[in-house]
Amino acid sequence: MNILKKIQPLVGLASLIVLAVGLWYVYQAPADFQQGGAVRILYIHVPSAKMALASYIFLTVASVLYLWKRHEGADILAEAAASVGAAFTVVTLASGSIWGKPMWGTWWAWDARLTSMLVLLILYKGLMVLRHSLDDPVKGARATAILAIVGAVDLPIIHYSVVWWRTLHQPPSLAAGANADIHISGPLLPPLLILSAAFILMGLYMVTVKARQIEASRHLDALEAARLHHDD
Amino acid sequence: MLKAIYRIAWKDVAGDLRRRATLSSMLFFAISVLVVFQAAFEPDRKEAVRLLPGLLWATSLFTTLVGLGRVFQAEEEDGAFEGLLLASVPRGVIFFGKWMGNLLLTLLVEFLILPLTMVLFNVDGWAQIPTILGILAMGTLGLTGLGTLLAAMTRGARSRETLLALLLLPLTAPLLISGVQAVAATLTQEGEIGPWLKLLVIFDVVYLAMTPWAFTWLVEE
Amino acid sequence: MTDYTPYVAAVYGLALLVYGGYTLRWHASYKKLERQLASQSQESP
Repeated sequence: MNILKKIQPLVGLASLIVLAVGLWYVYQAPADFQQGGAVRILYIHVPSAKMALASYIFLTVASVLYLWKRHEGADILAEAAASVGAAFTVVTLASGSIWGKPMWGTWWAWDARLTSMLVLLILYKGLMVLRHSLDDPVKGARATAILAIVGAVDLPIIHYSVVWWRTLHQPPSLAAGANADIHISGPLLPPLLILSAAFILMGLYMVTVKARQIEASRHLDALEAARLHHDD
Repeated sequence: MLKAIYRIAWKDVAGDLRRRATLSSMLFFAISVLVVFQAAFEPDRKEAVRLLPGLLWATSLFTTLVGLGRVFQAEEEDGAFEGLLLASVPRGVIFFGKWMGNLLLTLLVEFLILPLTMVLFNVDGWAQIPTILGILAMGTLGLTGLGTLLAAMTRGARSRETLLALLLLPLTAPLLISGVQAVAATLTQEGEIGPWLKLLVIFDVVYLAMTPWAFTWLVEE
Repeated sequence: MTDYTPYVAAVYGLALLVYGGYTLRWHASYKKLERQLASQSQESP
């Protein structure tokens, strides 16, 4: 955990710089002839969606490490990744919905990717609730780690089932609209790439901050428990 | 080993049949869900055919949740869970036993409510009943497998029933989607049933292979 | 052509609110907890 404290300011500074550069590029980027200014929404939406998934991968790796090595640090990182991932998922859903209003004409469509994201958000919430509803913190950590792995196996199945379901039912016009965001190319690409890099750094920074908060609060709880025990 | 699975499952099922506790509350819960659906949608005959697959799966899912809340209840009350773990059977076997017990009860309820649903909603699908029962059974295999693991996970948790629902519903989304689509295809004789059955099998195989291991990890001290 | 400015502004505002808000909140929280921790470990070494 000490290494976190050392890299934290560095990661924070780097993410701010890259974020500023990315936003400058967004400001400079030409409007897409098809999607107009709405393409600017995708510069937030697409990196957020990637980070929502990347956080889950990070969370799974940390959970496997925790079960295997039983190192508390891995569990703290897993808990931090769940909160950070949930934040990315919320922004993905909200920005997707705001993008949908002008492009599809509705705030919400049961599009395959939006649906998978919604399931992912519920899963993140479940991980957070499960940990805190078990009285024994070690049991809570184990159960959460196992649930994370079960979820990791389930996510691809969820994704494919939703894709099959939607492609069989979707009216073609909506399906075309749903795929419109794949065509990001040419001059639209640099801001997307830079903002993606910025979001990776930002996600790392958020994990370090959240991990420090979790670590400190666990220490305090342990001190509290020790004092109660001493008083008895 | 098979004998041990059978013994654990049978202890739960026979005990429950004698007391009729879980089975009857599951059954009456399922019936009340059907009544609520009828009151909420008041479908005519054509709509009923369209609604029936979703209705059947939603009812099965809610009913499973009621059953799952009680899988480890008997052991919790007399503290016998730790005793069960101390017994000289592998943990995977304990898990399969618990799973089988829950599976049998859930299947029994589903088999009872399927004809009941057809009667209550005036759907003429009697010829398709064996196929629909088969689809229900395939889905229930994975549903109760994952559910039993989650029930073990939330043992002793605060506001456990809510938590169980929160965890089970997103993870079983593929089962619900493919189960509903498969029943709909059977009932209307339109559309393909193959891909959905394949998805159900994938889900079942994955969870049949994974949950006993996960359970072993979970209860390890 | 539709004016997308309000939608774009909403998304950037929301991202700022969620990412910035959570980061600042966690930041403040760990500062406070680590201060408490330091003062407590001085009390009972």
